[in-house]
Amino acid sequence: MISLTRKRPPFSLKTQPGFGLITGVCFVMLYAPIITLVVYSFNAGKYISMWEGFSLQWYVAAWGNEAVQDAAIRSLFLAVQASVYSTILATMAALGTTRTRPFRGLTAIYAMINQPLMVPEIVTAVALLILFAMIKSWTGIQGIFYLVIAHTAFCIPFAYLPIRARLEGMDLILETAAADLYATPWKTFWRITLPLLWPGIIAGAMLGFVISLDDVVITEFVKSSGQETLPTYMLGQLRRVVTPEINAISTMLLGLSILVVCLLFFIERKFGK
Amino acid sequence: MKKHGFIAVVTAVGLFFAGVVHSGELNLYNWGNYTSPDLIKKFETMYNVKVTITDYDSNTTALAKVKAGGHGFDIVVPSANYVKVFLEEDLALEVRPDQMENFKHVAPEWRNPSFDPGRHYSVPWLWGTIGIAVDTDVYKGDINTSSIVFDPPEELAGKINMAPEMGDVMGMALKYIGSEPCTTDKVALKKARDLLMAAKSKWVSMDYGLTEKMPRGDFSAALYWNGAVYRAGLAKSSIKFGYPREGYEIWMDNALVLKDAKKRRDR
Amino acid sequence: MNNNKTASGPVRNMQINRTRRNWLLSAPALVVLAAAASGPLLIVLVYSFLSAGEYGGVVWKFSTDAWFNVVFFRDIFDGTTTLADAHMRILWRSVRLSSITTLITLMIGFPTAYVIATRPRKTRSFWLFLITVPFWTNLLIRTFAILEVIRNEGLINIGLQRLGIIDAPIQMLYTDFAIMVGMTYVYLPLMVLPLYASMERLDFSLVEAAYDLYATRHKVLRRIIVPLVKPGIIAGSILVFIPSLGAFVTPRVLGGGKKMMLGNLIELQFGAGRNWPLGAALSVTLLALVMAALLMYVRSTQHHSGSVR
Repeated sequence: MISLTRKRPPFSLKTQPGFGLITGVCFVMLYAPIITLVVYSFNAGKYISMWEGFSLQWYVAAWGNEAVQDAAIRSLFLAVQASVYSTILATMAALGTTRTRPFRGLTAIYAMINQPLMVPEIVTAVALLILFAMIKSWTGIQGIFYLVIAHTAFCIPFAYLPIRARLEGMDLILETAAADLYATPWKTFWRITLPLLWPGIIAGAMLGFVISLDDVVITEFVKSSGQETLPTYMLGQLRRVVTPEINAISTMLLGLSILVVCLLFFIERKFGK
Repeated sequence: MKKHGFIAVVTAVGLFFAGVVHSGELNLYNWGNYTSPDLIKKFETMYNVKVTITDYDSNTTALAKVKAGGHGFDIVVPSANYVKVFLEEDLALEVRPDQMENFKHVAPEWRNPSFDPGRHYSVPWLWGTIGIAVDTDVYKGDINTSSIVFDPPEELAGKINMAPEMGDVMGMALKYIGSEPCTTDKVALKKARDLLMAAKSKWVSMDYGLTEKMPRGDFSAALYWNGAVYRAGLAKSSIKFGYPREGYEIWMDNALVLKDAKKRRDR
Repeated sequence: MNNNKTASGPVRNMQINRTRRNWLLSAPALVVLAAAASGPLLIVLVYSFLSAGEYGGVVWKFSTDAWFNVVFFRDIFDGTTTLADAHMRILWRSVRLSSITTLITLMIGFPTAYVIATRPRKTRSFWLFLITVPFWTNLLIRTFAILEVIRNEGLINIGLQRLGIIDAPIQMLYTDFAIMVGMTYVYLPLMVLPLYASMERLDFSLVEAAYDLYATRHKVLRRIIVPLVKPGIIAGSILVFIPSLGAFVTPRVLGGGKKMMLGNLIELQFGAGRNWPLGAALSVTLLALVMAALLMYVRSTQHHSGSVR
């Protein structure tokens, strides 16, 4: 029987032995390399692991570097476009596939929408390289829009997921009530569904933005003359002389991503699950 | 590289570019870290042209991208053996640099190479050698031999990097076994193949980026190009360049204009 | 009259209209995906049956050479045909490293997800945020960060040397170990998030009941918690295994060119290898492996009915 006189800490239902330690190790493991990277971006010396004092020179260098500026602008340009287009498309698709009775072809639609998540990037990259090369040599049409289409396509599933999740959590009752009050479908959508769905849409857009900004493999294969993005620029630099400039760029990108993720969390917090 | 020769190359190439440009922009496809930013600035102001540089790190990548079409490049800078391929594949535009003004600055020994007789298509960009890089802190012996990479001494086994360029590695291997680099002799090729397969276990990587990696100790010896090794030596003075006595190659990269460039201008 | 199979009149019209509306809504997304994601895959399949061009590209002539070369190797010197050693080794390395990575991320991710899920509600989002941040940083940055940690003059080697534990740096970079560490690092958040999602819904009254029945902590873990979060385990494993199988950047940077995975082998064919059909055939092979893994996932979730679609 349980001894009632012995003092011992209340039995915690939820702890498991050793889990706390492993979790601690996990966080250390996750952050140590990143922190090292960030710290060395302030290195006054030329090399990445020999600390020679504090300096902002690499940030100055990165900002002044024309190739970096060009790549950064292109990355942002692509990311904004990809996130907007993919969010619009994903919202429509989510509306068409959620809160509805299963209809023929629904599984097929799911498969297609989630396909970029399942297919390894290298395979998509190769496929797009072949396809676009064919189109370019037949028509001779160049342009950034090949990249835009490619990015939009693989951002769709990422935008789709939060929108769908949000939509599933929305009770149909409000929309039915609106219909009872003789509102047209369009009006219902505009004044009931959309405002309620908005946090999900924002989340989808931000996800799409970050995913597009980060893409390396597909962009590397599909890009043609002068179409460097920030990640492909860094990949190129990694193959040559690596200076802390790359740490500076990485830190700035990291800062941007953190900002976006913060916003995401803030929105989710504010609008509930 | 002779300084005088360099200036000549710069001006020759500069004028060569000028012949290409009609509409104020130039797309240059070149090796990474290979174009002097000063040259580009000078060119841009002199001819009022915007230059975009895209880089590649291997001849095969460049060839594949150009061949696939739709790349948008005007000028590419392949190595000597690949110039021949570009010519054969009918990808280059015959601009006759040998008839251009500044051709007289091109040193005589480079005026009539076997890969572009009479220089109807290309202009020299840079030349150098490929050889053996060794960190003499790790290995004190003789570095002027390619046995360092093909039959490594103990101290270097497992610490060797090979340049991932097919033609250069095969060429060195063939010379090492006493044959010629461009042979089709199957017996020799088989010997070279077996040599490479046997040596492979002693290598640790086959990667670019020696200039950064070698001074940091990622490996202690390599088969690599002289320019990069020189820069590595600036970072760590114990890194030295050896000229293998069994034979080594002189490489030359050449600028040529792509046929696609003209098509785009004319449209 | 109404029966199960057909509804009559206005109800049926509404159903048809609704289905049509759903298709119309989904159509634009599907078109873009077909053009830039699914469609191109068919082209890859077609290319795997063509002949390789001399310097890259393809020649439109039917050939099964590419598929032959995936599995077999014909020695050009003595004409003997053997099993394609190098390809098999690369394939095995890919499967092996992906599996190990999945296992390790599970070992580390499970406790982590559990601890986060059992924090008080208020702090939970903070911990989640901390876990997600590395995930949203660029893949290159993360791989590069690991490079700096494990190379010969990197964090670990310098640290161990300073502490006097070793004399000379341990060669960690350019090994299978390096690739595995890199992939674990890159894909860890992908394992933690689905696990957390599952654990968050865990009904702890079941756990309490088990303890009331004198179960040990270990037993509770093994027989209550794990089975209840199985969907999360499976989802996380899939989310780690599949991308790691086709990994390209991480093995490239950390493997140094000698230790290749399937992704690198494929890329090689489109570059120095000059064998696009072989690259296409290898891509299809990779895809087949992924499909197989997915099929196992679908099959196992079907045993767990109650997963809401």
